[in-house]
Amino acid sequence: MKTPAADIQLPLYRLFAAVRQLDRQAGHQTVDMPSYFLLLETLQQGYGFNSQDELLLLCEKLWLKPHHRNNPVLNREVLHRLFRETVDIPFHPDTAATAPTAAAPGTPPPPTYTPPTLPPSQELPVPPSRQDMEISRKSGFFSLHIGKAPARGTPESQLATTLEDVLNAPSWLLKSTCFPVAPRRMEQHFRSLRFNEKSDARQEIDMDATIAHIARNGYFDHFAMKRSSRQTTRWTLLIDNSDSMAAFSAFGEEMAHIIRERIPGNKGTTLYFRNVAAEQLYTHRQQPGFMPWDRFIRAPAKNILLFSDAGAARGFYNEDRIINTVQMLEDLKPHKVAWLNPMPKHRWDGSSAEMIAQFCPMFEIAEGSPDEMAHVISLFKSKIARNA
Amino acid sequence: MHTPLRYTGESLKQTQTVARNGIAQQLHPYIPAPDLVQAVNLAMLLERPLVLMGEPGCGKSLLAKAVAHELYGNDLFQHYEEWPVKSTSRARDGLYEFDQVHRLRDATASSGDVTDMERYIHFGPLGKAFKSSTAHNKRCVLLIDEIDKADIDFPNDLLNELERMEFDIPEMKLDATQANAGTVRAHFRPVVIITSNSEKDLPDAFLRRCLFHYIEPLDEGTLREIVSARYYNEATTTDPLLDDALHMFLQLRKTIQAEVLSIGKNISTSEFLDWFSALKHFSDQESPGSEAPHVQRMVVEVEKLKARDMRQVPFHHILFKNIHSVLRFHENAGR
Repeated sequence: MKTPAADIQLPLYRLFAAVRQLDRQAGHQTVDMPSYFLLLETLQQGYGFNSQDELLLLCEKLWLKPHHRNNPVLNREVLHRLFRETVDIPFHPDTAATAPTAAAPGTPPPPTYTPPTLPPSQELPVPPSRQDMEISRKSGFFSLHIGKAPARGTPESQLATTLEDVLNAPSWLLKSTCFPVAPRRMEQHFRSLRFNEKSDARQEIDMDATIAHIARNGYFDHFAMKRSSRQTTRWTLLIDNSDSMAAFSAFGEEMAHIIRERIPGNKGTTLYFRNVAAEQLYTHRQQPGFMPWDRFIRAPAKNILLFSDAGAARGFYNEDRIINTVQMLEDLKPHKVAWLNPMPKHRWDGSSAEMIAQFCPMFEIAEGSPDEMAHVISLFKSKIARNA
Repeated sequence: MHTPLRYTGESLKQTQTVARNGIAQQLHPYIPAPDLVQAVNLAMLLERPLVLMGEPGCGKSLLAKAVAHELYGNDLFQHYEEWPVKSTSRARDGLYEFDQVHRLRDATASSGDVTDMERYIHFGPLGKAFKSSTAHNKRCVLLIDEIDKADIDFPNDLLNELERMEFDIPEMKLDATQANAGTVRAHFRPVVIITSNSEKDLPDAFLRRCLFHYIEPLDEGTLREIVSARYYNEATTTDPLLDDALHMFLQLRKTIQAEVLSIGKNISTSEFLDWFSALKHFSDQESPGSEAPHVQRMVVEVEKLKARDMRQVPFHHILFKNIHSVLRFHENAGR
């Protein structure tokens, strides 16, 4: 006779697989296999078998995290809908009665489940987003989720109730959270380039050395001092503020915000240009102030992150742009430069970006490879190592 | 296997007085929503930390004491630790601090055995919680309050400790005479409740080891129950003052919610309770004629509530905390 656990195991795994897939699409990795095993172990202890609501609550608490609140890809509504579609087995008193209950004191812990393997022909549940994602992919925004941004304070019940609703919503606002690199991950990447900078002027007590000195001499006569140090970074952002970058302005501003506000001790700044940086850089998106290009390139060496589509959005070669950009990169040679291109890599082909990428390490912000940012960091770390 | 600890939310329905370090402290009624009760029970069953979010003042931090009170009654503070996180907090602060200055003084004055490292270890809230969770029915309730205030790497630095429920003290390792010196281990997992005001995102690696619950604003019935228990010592009261206050509060909340972009912060439950406390205090005063003038003014102020007019909110200073809400609701603003 099949146990209720066996009845429910496959639907639950399908639900888990779907939720995990959506979590990845939302740019996170919080739904993992251990959480699925924990779910099964909890069922073995007898919790979750009494009603669908109880099981749903268990799934919700294990899988939904703060960033899923109001997330258009995976949220409470989506989980509830997937649950209703996937875990469609009757719950009745017999089920609860025959469910594996909490083991008696002294009995060994229940054996660990192995995840059910699906036959090759049996595909995992594919969330309805797949088709829409395909369409998006063909239209060039394969790495972005283009969703309706909920107004601040919108009650959850007024958000789209199904995944299909969400993906079909006719809205083209790209929030920074729509990108597969979460702001938090960006912050971590930026911070990972911190290094200790010794201060020439400030000193602090070296307690370990002082105590070691006392232990050696048997008396205290002075404090051992050491140069104080503080952590710093050298990030400078150059953001292309041209029309073709309008859709990515929120992402650029998020990066600028992180570098400005959340990286303490950063010795760099954010500057703007249009298409190609030449005579001057702007200190603000709306261009009220500027910095001469010559002064910028002659400043001490920096890690410069260029954020521009490099002409990929236009989709054709622009000879002037390529020549001017190569000249710009030549000017920037004293510095370490990486290029972050918000357009997907396959859209670079046949455009100015394809040529420019030959002169500068260019990275995309792509779904499935959020660690592209990590490549940027590796590049800059090599610079730090060389300087050291 | 032990029967999981159980929280019903029933134990703190009246104000209780308990002793903390010999000083009497009041615990006000805490009436949790059913889904919050389930979330706490799940966290205790799965032995995972529970991350709580919600509007400021919705009762996130108070939950830990309520759980500890239900589990341990008036002895709750023997099994309760609180770690109020600050912007300067480091993960190690919660584990232990090594008193280098004390050791330096001892070394200088030759007044103590500087090799006895234990004398210089001061355990933090997490360290104390590990040490005091000595039995299943003595699991410490640990509140890590406002974790989002700390540096972005702070939660990551706690990952190992919260998962393995042990940590090393390198300074103690120097003392080779003691076996197992330098490792503090929790024999039973404490009940860990973590609150956040979402000022910073928490890392995925941290979140996937926790359960998450968002505390929704309380509905009218629960608010009525809380106020009745706290101010009237009754299950439900029929005081018209409460009816008027609840009506006004819910109306204001709804309006601010609709205009949140222009007004900003909404009114929280804790602000409502403070506000009602003032209303109740002055409505309980004797007839206006027998009081000092400033008290009379307050009593008259309370009378305004009967009009249920959002432009005449008595003691509006308690509810409105920014200029936008004052301009929006206070009739004399800007004059």
